[in-house]
Amino acid sequence: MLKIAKDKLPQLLQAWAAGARVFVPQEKDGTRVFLPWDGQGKLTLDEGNTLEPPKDLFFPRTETMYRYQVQGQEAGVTEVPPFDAKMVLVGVRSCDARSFAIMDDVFLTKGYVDEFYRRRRENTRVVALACTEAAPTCFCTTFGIDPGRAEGVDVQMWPLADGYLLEVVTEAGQELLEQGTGLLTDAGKEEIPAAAKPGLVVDIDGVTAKLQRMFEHPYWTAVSRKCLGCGACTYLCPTCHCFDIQGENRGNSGYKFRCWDSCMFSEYTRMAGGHNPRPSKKERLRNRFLHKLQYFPERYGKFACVGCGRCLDRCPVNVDITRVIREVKEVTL
Amino acid sequence: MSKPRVAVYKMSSCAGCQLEIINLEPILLDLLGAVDLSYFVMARRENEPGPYDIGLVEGAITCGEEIERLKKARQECHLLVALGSCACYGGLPSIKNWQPQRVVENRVYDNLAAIHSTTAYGIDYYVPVDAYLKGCPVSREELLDFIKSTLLGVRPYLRPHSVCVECKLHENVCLFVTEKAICLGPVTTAGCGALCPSRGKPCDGCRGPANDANAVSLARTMAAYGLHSQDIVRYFRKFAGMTSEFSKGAEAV
Ligand code: SF4
Ligand code: SF4
Ligand code: SF4
Ligand code: SF4
Repeated sequence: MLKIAKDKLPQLLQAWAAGARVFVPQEKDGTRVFLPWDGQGKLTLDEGNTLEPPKDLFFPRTETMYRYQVQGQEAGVTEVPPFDAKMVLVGVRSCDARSFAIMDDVFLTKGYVDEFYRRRRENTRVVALACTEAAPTCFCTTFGIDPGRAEGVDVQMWPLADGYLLEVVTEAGQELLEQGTGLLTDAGKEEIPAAAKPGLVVDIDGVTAKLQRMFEHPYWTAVSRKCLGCGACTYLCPTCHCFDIQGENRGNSGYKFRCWDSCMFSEYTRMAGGHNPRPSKKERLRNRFLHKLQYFPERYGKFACVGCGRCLDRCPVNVDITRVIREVKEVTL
Repeated sequence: MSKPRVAVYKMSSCAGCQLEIINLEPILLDLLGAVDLSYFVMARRENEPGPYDIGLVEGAITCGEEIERLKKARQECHLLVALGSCACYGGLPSIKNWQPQRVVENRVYDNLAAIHSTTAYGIDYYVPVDAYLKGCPVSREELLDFIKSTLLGVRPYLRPHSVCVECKLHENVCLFVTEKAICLGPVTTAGCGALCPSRGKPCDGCRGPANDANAVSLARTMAAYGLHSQDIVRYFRKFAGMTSEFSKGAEAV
């Protein structure tokens, strides 16, 4: 176990930044976001999780897929250069670390590999940071996530009053910490601080089975009455991964790009001919919850919610997934 | 093949939407290469009579004389298009609809003898309309896209969804959720490229209701944010108070 003093952390980030793009939570526009470390920003590692999840580092909001051009009778396609920068993500909380595993399921398994995602994901090292305090909206333990230790990361950190404890998890993590020689000291008798205990706990036992029988239930009409369809919930969710592919054409050339989409928007399911199988907010909101709590577990054996609480914190009309889970369990069929 | 002939009509409006056509200046010559602006009183000294292929109507209908001109326009145009929010829903002129006619007239005109105004309506209250180009003023990009698509014979991409979608594509921090600013983005039709929120100003709803707008819930949220019910009414009646969607918002609290 190693330790770094709080005032040395910027130097460690600097050392990593020499060979990679380092992303770490910093203050921006009054919120906390993962931003590239340039030695100037204000770190917010001790202030709870970021407003936006780090998913856009693997799955950017807008990403060019290829370019094309037409000259006379000739048409050609130009590939975009593959992403090959190294990235180090520092300060990822346990809930967001789980979300990476969920995104991996979507983009890398079942016989289909998304090359755009794979390149970014494989070029990234993850340094997790344990939570010793939970926000009122955190409910990660509901999904068996340990706020004190993240899954699938390269290095695990814990906050101390005057610095951070660091533990190597993988070989890549070992290499990272070797770059910090001189900054890191032996932790000695320093104890790992106790993990946060989120006060919000929901019983999710049997929710998937219950939902399988609730597709037509009037509950969805009631719960969707308030929804504005603003999409904040899906854009802020670390596991939402839907995208649209569109083209931008100018004269004889253009490009195809993909960009985040949201099942909360009517366009999302509207067919070319105008038919929409999810015509109202009821069907759309139902889809969001069923996807997280029924379809994903059916297909991948795990829930697609990590209990980060972002959606319930930020929904302008307080649509709350924890309340939905509770109410679903209470519905009589 | 002769070039399609376009006519631009003005009803009760500020002429801002017509100005946007002229503001297409950098590509106006290309446009004139493709269409013939046959009737456009604001931009031409001499205008040619109909029939026309495309008619762009700017402005709300607020008096009997305009109803007559509108009906004539409908007869002489193959496609009739509502240009801007006034023509689509009544727009800004429609804010007068909630006060007695004479009170409003008295405020503006000295001599009321010659004034016979009517409730301000969008043009589809009187004639069938083929397309709606929303906004106060219209979006130049959307206008251009509409003309291009029409020339190509394909369906133009007029976004049905809310301004929030475009706002999020621009990667803006949401003013409504983060700063608790009163933003009509969630209920307003996109197509402006989230012009206002992208510059730090909440959406005023100038493009009118988006498909499936939940104005009732938004109005309640505005009240929860501390807005007075009279102000909520003003928000929803500013540009499109005559639409059923926004009137639900105005009546919700
Ligand atoms: S954040 Fe709330 S209001 Fe917005 S789409 Fe999601 S559930 Fe609906
Ligand atoms: S559904 Fe809500 S609580 Fe669950 S992972 Fe997504 S944003 Fe977090
Ligand atoms: S700022 Fe307004 S338009 Fe943009 S996402 Fe928020 S509510 Fe929607
Ligand atoms: S953001 Fe709203 S007020 Fe601004 S131009 Fe677009 S629709 Fe109009």
